[in-house]
Order: sequence, then C-alpha cells, then structure tokens
Amino acid sequence: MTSSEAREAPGPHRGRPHLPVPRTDDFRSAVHDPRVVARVGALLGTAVLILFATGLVSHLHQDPVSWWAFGPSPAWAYRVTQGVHVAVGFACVPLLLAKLYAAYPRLFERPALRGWRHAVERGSVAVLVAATTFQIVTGVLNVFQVYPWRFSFVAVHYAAAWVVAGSVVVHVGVKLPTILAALRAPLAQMRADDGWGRTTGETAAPEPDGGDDRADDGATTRRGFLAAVAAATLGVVALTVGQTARPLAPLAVLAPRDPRVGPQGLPVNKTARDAGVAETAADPAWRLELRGPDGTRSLSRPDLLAMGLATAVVPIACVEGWSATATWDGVRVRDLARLVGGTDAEDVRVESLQPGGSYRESLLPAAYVAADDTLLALRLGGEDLDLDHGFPARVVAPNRPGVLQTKWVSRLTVEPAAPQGGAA
Amino acid sequence: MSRAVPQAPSPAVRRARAVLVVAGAGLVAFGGWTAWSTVPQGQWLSALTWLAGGVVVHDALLAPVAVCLGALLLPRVPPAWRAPLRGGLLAAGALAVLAVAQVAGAADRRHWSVVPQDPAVAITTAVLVIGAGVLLGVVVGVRRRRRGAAPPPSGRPGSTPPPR
Repeated sequence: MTSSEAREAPGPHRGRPHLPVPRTDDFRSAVHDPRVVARVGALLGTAVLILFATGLVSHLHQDPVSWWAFGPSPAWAYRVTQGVHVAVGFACVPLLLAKLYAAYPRLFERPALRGWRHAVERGSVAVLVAATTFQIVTGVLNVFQVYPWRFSFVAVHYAAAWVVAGSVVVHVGVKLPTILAALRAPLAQMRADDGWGRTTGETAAPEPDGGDDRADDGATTRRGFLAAVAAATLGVVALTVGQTARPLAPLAVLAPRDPRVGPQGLPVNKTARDAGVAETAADPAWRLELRGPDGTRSLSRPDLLAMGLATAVVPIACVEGWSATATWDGVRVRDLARLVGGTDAEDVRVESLQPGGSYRESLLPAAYVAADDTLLALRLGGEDLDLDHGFPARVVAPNRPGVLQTKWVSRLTVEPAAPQGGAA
Repeated sequence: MSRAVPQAPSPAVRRARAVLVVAGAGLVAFGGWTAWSTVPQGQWLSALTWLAGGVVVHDALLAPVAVCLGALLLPRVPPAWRAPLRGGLLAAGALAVLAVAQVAGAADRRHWSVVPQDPAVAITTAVLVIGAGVLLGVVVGVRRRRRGAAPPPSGRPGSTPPPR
C-alpha cells in the first residue's frame, strides 16, 4: 500500500550497505505529505471524538452519577449511541492504518531527539499511537468475545479512553500550525516546503511509484489515497453495521452478530450454563421474591401470568454494538413494586439467580420503573422465554444497555428513596 | 505559499496550542489516575504488554511490510492501478484485523449466535468485495486519465520501472 522506499544509492547513510534504517527524507511518495496526514487525521480525530462521547454515555449508564440521569425515553437512544460507538470503532481500523502509514516517515526523523521539548513531543506521539492502537484492537477483539488478555476490559477501556482523547488533544495542540497550513493547502499544489523539514519537492524528486515528476501526478496520488481511505472505511462499516441496523444484516459478513440469529430470533450473550443457572432457572419451584416497604411476597410463574400481561416492543441493545427489537410480554415492574408498597418514585434493585458475576444484579432507576414499557418479561415473540434469554423471567426496559437487562430474575427489591441521586 | 508552516504562529494560534496541550495533558493524567485507581495491580503487566505490543507490531511488522509491498509492487503496475491497489492493500490490512478477531471468535463461541456465519465464507466474500472495489477504482481511474487533457501515462503492465 505504499510507494515509499529506502533509496539504495546516494544518501546520508552511504557506507551502511546492509538494511539501512530509512530517514524521513527517504519516503518519496506523495502520500507521505502533511496535507494527506492532516486530512486523514481530521477524520480519525472526529471518529475518536464520537467514540469518546458515545463511550461515555455507555459508561454513565452502567456507572450512574447523580448529575446526569438517563431515562427510558427515547427507547432507541442507547441502541443508536452504542451502535454508532462500535461502527465507528470498526471504521477506525482502516483510518488508523492510513494515518499511521501516511505519517510513518516521521518515525525516522533525525536527529531522533532535539532537546527536551522534542523529546516530550515524541513521547506524547508514542502515547497517542500506543493508546489508540490498543483501544481499537482490544475493542474489536472484545466485540467478537475474544479476550486474550488478563485485565478487566471495561476498566481498562474506560481509563484508556481518557488517555486517547487527551493525547489527541495534545497532538492537535502541538501540530496546530502544521495542521492549519496543511488543511488550507490544496492537494494539487506542489511541495516546496512540506513542513516536515524536507526541502525536496515533487519537481526535484520523482516518486518511485509515480513514474512521473509532475505535480499533477502527486495530486492524483494524494487524491487517490484519500479516496481509497474513504472507500475502505465505508466498506468496513457497510460489512459490519448490519448487526445494529437490521435491514443491512444480509451485508454484515464481517460483523460478530446477526441480529436475526439466535433462539427465538434474538442473539444471546450470556448463556444459562455460563451464568451457572441452567438448573435453578428451569426448576418449577422457582419463585419471584418481592421486597418493599410493606413486606415480602413470593410469586410463582403461574401467579405472574395470571396478573395479566402487558406487551412492549423494546430493543435489546448490547454493549458489543449489536441490537435487535423484540416483542416482549410480561408484568410491568411498577405493578410488581406496588404489590409490596412501592411507588413510582423509588428505584428497584433486580437480582438474578446467578451466583456471581459483575452483572448478577442491576438497579432500575425510578424513572425506568415508572415507564409503561419496563417489564418483568415472561414471554418473547409470543413464546415462553428461552432459557438463554432469561427464563423464567427477565427485565426489559427501553434505552438500557443489554448487560443491565438482568436475566433469570429471582428478586425485586424496592429501594428506599435516596435523598440524592437516582430519583426521577 | 499559504501552506508553508508559519515560522511564528499568530498569538491566537499560540494561545490555542497552549490551551490544547494543557487540557489534553489533563485528560491523559485523569486517564492515568483512573487506571491507577481502578485497575488491579495484577492486571497491569498484561495491559502494558498489550499497550506496547500494538506499536511494536505496527512499527516493526505491518508498516515495513506495507512499505516493501509498495516499493516492489506499485512501480510495476500501470499508474491507473496504483491508487486502487494502495486502497485495496489498506482494506486488506483492515480486513486482516477483523479476520483474526472473527476466526478467534468463531473458534471459541460461548453461544452459537456469536459469529454465526462461517468465517471462511465471510472472509472470502470480503476479499472478493475488495477485489471488486479495486477493479472499480481502476475503471474510474482509467476513465479519468482518458478524459484528462494530459497525454496518457506511459506505464503498462510489466513495463520497465518508471523514468527517474
């Protein structure tokens, strides 16, 4: 994908015939140009901004703060923000490769360090490249449920997001004069002083792949590269975004999920077996325990079915980016809360049969409890829930990450209204 | 020339740089502190290995391969093929990342709805899509060059390296 090469013949490193380390000057292709780097960088920077914002939304859903509360409406919001998060993350794979490739000659600048400012600047680029590559690669592996590491993805992904965002901001600050000049300069212009300290222009140094030393050809090369970056980026998105946008599902050959595939037409993340509930969840002796200000009640599945079921069309939107709308039948959580003295003003803690795990319980904020579409679902698509979808009962609520739609529910507890935070 | 880097940035640009660098450093520091305070110490080695590993794999492996491919392959194809091929190689690089993830995901499914497709079929399809994209790019490029006023470039498949 490159046109650059280390020239064999004359050069500053004459006398080192074996595999000379190239220098910035040795990369002659018109692609290695600040105008290209700045334009690809603008795209990548925008992508990082979108990733950071949508990632923060997902983080605040799972780790709520009192000053920023989400509610059940609009039902599709999380599906969109997280779908965008993962789609843009996929798009970053070609964007990052293109950016690194275009700027690659800078790795070989000489002298390698010119004083402490330059050392700090290069160090900041090292942090930027390392953190961004890390974030994109581990993010992609994570959505495919591949975890070849020994750290908590959620905690490290969150911390690294701040490092990536911060080092992008530092990088833009450091490079601002170059960026402004490069973005203002037309792609077609010849290169006289390229801002990378190279004094050679296209007229003086024909690029080996160009076959021609006209500025026109350099412009064609740059435009061609940017068009290729756009095509590769859109291509990656086109072949993956169908996991979120159902009409595009037939195209999504590279996506980790097909939103149409799974028991009852819905993908499964955690299975009953993995959760350690395969037996307890299928046991007819299962009872739902309700706890609230008025005491405790215990309901069997037939008791719940006899309460009369409400229907809600609510998407399951996974943190991994896939989402699918489904039709659920169940009892409204607020009706269950009222059975034990709850009102619409209190949060409800949801506990699963799962013996452990980070997501064995969740807290439904009062705004969600009050919503018509927040159900303790018993049926999916007109059938009893599949065991892997949370039989005998699971929570579904609009605008919630899938990991908080607790499955195999064993207990609902009306939490005393807290003086701060959470209350609607 | 407007695109030459100003020797002395305007005061506004200087101020903006200072603000960006300080603000960015603050965000990085917050990220570092978050990692320090929330990631258990036993996980640091793994995280730092992955952090450094990406840079090493790129700088020492992917980028040199890309540079060599470009230096060896692109001069030997007609000019109209160069940009589409470069794009194709870029797309292939991106596909390689996704393919590794997909194959690994399919190898150890926690549930059959994870990577429900056959990775071999999926990756072959993606390769064909890239090939079609390259050919489309060549067609567009050839048409552009014909329409352009400049005389047609001399390069032909298998022709001698371009003039220096």
